[in-house]
Amino acid sequence: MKKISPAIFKDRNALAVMHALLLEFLVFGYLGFLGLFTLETLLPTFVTVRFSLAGLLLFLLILTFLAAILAEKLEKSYVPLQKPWHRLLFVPALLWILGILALSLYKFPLWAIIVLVLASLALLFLFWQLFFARD
Amino acid sequence: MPFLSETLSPVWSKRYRSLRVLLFIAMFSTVFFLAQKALFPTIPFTFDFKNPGASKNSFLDPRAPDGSSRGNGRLEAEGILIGNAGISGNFSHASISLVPEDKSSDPETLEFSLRRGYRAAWLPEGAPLDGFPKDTLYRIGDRYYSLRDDTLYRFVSEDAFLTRYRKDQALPQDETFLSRYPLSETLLGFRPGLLVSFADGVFIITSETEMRPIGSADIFLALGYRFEDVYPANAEELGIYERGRIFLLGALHPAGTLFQETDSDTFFLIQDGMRHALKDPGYRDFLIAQQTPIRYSQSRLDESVSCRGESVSLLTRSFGCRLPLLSLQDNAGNDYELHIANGSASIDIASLELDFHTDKSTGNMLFLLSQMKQRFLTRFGI
Repeated sequence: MKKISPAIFKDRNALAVMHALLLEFLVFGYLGFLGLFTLETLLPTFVTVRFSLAGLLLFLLILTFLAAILAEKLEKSYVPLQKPWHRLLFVPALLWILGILALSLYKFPLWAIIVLVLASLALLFLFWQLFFARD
Repeated sequence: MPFLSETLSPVWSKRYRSLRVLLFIAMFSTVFFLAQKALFPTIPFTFDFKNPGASKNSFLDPRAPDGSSRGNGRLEAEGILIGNAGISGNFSHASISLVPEDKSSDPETLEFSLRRGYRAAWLPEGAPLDGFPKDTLYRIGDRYYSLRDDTLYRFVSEDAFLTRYRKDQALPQDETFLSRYPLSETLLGFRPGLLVSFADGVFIITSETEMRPIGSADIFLALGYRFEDVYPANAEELGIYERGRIFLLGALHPAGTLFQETDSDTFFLIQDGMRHALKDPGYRDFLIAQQTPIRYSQSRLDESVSCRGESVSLLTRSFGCRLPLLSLQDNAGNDYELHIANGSASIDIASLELDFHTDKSTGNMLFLLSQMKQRFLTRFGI
């Protein structure tokens, strides 16, 4: 078996391949996480008694960090929502968020629902500003 | 290529396509493996004898046959260790792994046996009960009192009184009677063992001062209880109790629980850590009117499966074996009791793990999916 030389990490082709594979894995990874999170919301403890969702999220965040490092080495910059079809993701994402909130909150008193929803929207807005707002 | 934003050399382009295929194979294999783990779960129960008080110890109450704790893991020659695990579901087999302390000698022989039923049904049998508790009871207006050690104790409500005694057992008195004895501030509540509901929860009255919430509807049913037997209490009635730990599977049914042994058609009441046969038909019928007895067969409860411990790992020093569970599947109750009989060398146990395995079959998969559907419908009140 061929040894992997450290020089491979300086080869732009290798970095580009690693980056592309990592991104592809992360897309499926995050979709999988969202699916398991939704299942856990519908059937509390069904997922967490078998797997650690926190562990999975931590693993995905570490890989995201690695992808960011590779992107920096490749001198890539991300411009979010650049393509028109990116904006179509808004609708399912918003529906999912509202659905999860509704499932989580439906037994709460009305005033608590209002407070929690407003707080969640404020947090989402702050995250949006942090990651996607253009300077 | 959707994730590749630059042109690769032909060699690297080919490598990228191959690696992508490998990535998809790895992802699908992982999903398949995790789905198997989810649909055919292995449920572990562990005990760390170096940390006997740790909350993560799910194997319950390691003890000697006389009830003394074996939380330190010490098992003398010819000694027996008993412990419990509570789990509902159909499992094909259980596997046991016992790891001795580093300084401990290896066991010469270890015999593991497992039986299934209700923990309380394995309690020793005490003296039979020949009727209602012998208390002096009074009724003044619409309030009920019990005279104990020359002190009057008031019942928190008429309903609480009626869970312990019949109405005609209280001697009617007038208000002047209250001046004869000191009145305690402690209120008497429901009969221990009673199931009560308040707000969204169902509780077991476990003693004169404590009530414990039941973990879930599934656990409630797995304990052998019926929702028809739950009494709706009010805040005043439950205000006299302290709220204890959540009642989960594996816990011993509390004092006041009524059982019916079907082989001999004998009714037992749990009290003081023992089973007491109910001899008085009047008291028996009074209790049955409040709680459907939990039924079991003593002969089935005494059945067990066993195996001889062997070294189970080449890498670690652990001993165990595999126990088939099919013969225990139809037993009433979801409590499993493990007995470990040691040979002629005393050992110190570092850790113990008892795993329940689900067979990979279509029947088990459909059963789990139907359980998931039922849980989903129950969660949303459909």
